[in-house]
Amino acid sequence: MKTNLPIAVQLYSVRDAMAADFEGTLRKIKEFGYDGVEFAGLFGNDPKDVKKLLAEIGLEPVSAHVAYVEMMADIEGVMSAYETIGCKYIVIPYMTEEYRPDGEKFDEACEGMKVLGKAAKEHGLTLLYHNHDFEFVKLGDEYGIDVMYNRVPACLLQTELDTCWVNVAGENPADFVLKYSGRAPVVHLKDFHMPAVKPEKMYALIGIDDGAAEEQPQSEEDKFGFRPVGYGMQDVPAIIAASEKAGAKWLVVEQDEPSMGKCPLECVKMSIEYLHA
Amino acid sequence: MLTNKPIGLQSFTLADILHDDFEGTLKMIKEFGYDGVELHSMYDRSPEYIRDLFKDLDLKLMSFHGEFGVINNNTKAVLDEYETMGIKYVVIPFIMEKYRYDGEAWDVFVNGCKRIGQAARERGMVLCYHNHNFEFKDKIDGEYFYDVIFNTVGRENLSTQMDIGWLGIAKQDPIAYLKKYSGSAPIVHIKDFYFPDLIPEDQRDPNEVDYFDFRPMGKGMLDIPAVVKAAEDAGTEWFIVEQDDKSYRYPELSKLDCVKMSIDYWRSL
Repeated sequence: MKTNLPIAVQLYSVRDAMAADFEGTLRKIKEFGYDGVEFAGLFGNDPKDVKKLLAEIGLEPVSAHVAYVEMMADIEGVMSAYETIGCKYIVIPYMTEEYRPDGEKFDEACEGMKVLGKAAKEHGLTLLYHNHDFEFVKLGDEYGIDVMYNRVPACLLQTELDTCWVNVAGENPADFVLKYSGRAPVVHLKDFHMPAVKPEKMYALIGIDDGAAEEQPQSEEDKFGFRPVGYGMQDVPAIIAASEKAGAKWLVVEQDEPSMGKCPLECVKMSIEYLHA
Repeated sequence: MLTNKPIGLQSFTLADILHDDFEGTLKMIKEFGYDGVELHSMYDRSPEYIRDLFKDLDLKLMSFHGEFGVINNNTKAVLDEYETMGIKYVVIPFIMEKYRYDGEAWDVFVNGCKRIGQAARERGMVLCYHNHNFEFKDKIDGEYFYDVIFNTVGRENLSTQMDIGWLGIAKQDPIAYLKKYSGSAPIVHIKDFYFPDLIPEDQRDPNEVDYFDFRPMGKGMLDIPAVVKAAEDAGTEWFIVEQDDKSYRYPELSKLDCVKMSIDYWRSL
């Protein structure tokens, strides 16, 4: 795969390893060949120490996923912490039901994102939103995700398109990235395998119980599953080409759960090896 | 002419093009016929620069949407900047959940508003609160959270910036609300919309959309002359146009088109 774009890993992919050995895991990520990292928690580490550690290892602190309510509860604290580390982007990773486009607090979430976007800017950060598939609910004739990006101006909110969820939602990920050209600085590369019929209990895979009925045990081929990049159904070259064309600055590998009998660290290694091959 | 009160534009409506060309966009707003602008950001300019720019453009900068937490923690510095820019109305556009009646920092909000309101008053400024619809969701001892805010802080330190569009979303009567806040409604967000829920089912236009839709003035269902009359009776000094989103009924209209249509309609009344 040939791309000039630097590649980071979303550290949620290796969260257990990060919790067990913060420094050692980051060193492994560097050895695997990643250029940068996207945080999902600091595991109690001081931002100044994290900055120093990354500089020493030679990894770019690209971005950080921080829960929307956590940011809203302490805007200054959160923005200052990631500014100190040297991140360029701060990302809303997920929205609980009431804040989604079809939720009762969607309007408020839009106002909240304006506040966060302004605060981020003042700290030299850019606010991004990382989507799932629930933003693709139709509001009138439009997708909720498009309404959200119309409501909150581009100068305050940019996309971190998760190309796996875009695909699961029924849209072509490469086309969708192109649609947000100029507003897609960071693109999430995530591969997956999906059987012909969408499973009921998909959110259990990202640790969320959506109340769907438990399914019968199945073989890995019959189930939806996240895969290392290049090992699933995504047209990765098309997504990378679209990202380059859309003006992306970073590609971020994320794998919510390991698969193919590999551990999370092996999976993220397989992803970067595929991308560098 | 409907009214001799001036009309401004809330800059959020054109946030992105202001970001690309701050000076050029302000000039265009002036050319469209707006009397003033309500800023939500200084776009990395200094207060002195903004003051001089608006003077050169013969455009009034009467109000600013700031974040409550920032104003509360840096009151003197923020009000100094506003004063330099000649701003009269200091507006809190939105509050996070922690600052609301059932939030852990409700008392911080109340005391903050009292203190900021008084500090603003001493400089000849007015602190205002701009509503959405969440203020009308729950009643506390028979009153909406909206009314609780003003009753608790006191109208001497906090005035309204009534947003007529969000009052509509909240299914509240703007005329009645303007009357209720007579003397505390110096600046009003006049915002047209279409909202089928406000029309009996058998009287709805079959060609209309079945959801709430923001509209340029004149393209929606708001009785603008009636709202303007009620606002003037309540002592309103400034009207502000803001369109939170494009119209999905008229998707071909850009926000810039809408901003122009709104002022053209306003001047035609």
